[in-house]
Amino acid sequence: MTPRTVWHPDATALQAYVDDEAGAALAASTEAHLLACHTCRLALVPAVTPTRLALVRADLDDRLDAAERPWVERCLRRLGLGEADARVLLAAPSMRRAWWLAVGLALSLGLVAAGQDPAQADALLVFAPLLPVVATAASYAPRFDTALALTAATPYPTMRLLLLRAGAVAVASTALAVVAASALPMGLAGTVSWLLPAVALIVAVLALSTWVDAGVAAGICSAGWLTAVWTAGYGRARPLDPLAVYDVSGQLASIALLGVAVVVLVRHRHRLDPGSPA
Amino acid sequence: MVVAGGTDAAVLGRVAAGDRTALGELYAEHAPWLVLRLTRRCNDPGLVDEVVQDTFVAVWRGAGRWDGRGEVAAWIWGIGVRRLIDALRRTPTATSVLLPEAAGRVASAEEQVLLGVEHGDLGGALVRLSPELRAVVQATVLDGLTTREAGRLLGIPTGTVKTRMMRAKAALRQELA
Repeated sequence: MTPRTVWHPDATALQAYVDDEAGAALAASTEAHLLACHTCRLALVPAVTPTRLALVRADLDDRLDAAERPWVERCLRRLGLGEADARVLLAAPSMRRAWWLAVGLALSLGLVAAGQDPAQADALLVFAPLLPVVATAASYAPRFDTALALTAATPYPTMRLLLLRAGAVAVASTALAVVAASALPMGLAGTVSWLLPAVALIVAVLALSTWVDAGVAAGICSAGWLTAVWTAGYGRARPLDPLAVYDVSGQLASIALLGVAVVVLVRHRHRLDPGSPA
Repeated sequence: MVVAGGTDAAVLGRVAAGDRTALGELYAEHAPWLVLRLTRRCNDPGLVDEVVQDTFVAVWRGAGRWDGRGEVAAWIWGIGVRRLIDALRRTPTATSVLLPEAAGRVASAEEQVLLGVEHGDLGGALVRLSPELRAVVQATVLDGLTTREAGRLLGIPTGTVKTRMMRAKAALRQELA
């Protein structure tokens, strides 16, 4: 600012102030003068080492950068997730508003149909485990993954990346499906009985995609699921009972599938590297 | 980086609009004197650095709240000294406030007072005040703190600040009479 005073501390006085050797009155005058004098402020810049200023500045920038991240990322960081992990999670498709809108809309339409016809409600429940399966496969299949080139070139553990992203999508889509299923007149059993098969199918897709493309893996698993529904349904009653697959033996089969898939996935995890052809 | 006079407010306006480059300009000019002035009140360089950082975070967030009156530097100092008080309260043992040798500053908004401090009797009168009284005058008058804030900075009760301020005024009145 334009100094409004005729008095400026000279170089000696400024130096005395910097060295803490200025008398009380001189120091008081200098400090008051500095508030209004642009020139004298600039004259003081060399008195603080550039390294110190740069270090404080770097920390300041870090803090401002951190504050600018989305609130979801800040929450994840507070939960103890590393910066890189949080960033990766946020890059998952389920973190897009468009994704939530699309999945939410699809489920709502299903619910509306189910409300008009109980048979449709059964169908919704049968297809419920497939929603997270397809969503998960789409989250990392090379043909859908917009961040593929980036992840392939990034030194980040592939398995970790895959599980984080698939996990984000699986959790989000499963949560949406739970909300939708709870709106059905099925009670608690109807709401949660499909969860175990869904988890098993998701891991099965991941395990299968160590051999084939994730999209193909999702297709195989979906077909397998529908076959299981069909087989279980016709074993009990005619006409087809679509929910028979959710009985005790169905749940046990899900646990078995989950176990096998986890073992396969862990053993073949290196093949999931996005840089190498599946 | 020579900026024409009167641009501090313009730079702060850009900061308020979310311009990080502008914050960098503000930092380049104002961080050094802030470091020096805070160092005269707290002899822990690590804590001073932390306070400077806090101050500029607050400047970044609060730039829009600057009322446009007075000097930008005075506004920054107001933030800085209060952050220092907060920091000292968090780490009361790690730091000590420099009192007697840095004491003896006086109100200075008006040029007459400024010149008087340097060349007139007021400066001498201040120097002759006892260190405790000078510290109180410095904190309340020059640093612009409330009685309560001054008490926190100096580590004394609010009531003590008030009584010392009264004694300082009486002493100055006598000296200058």
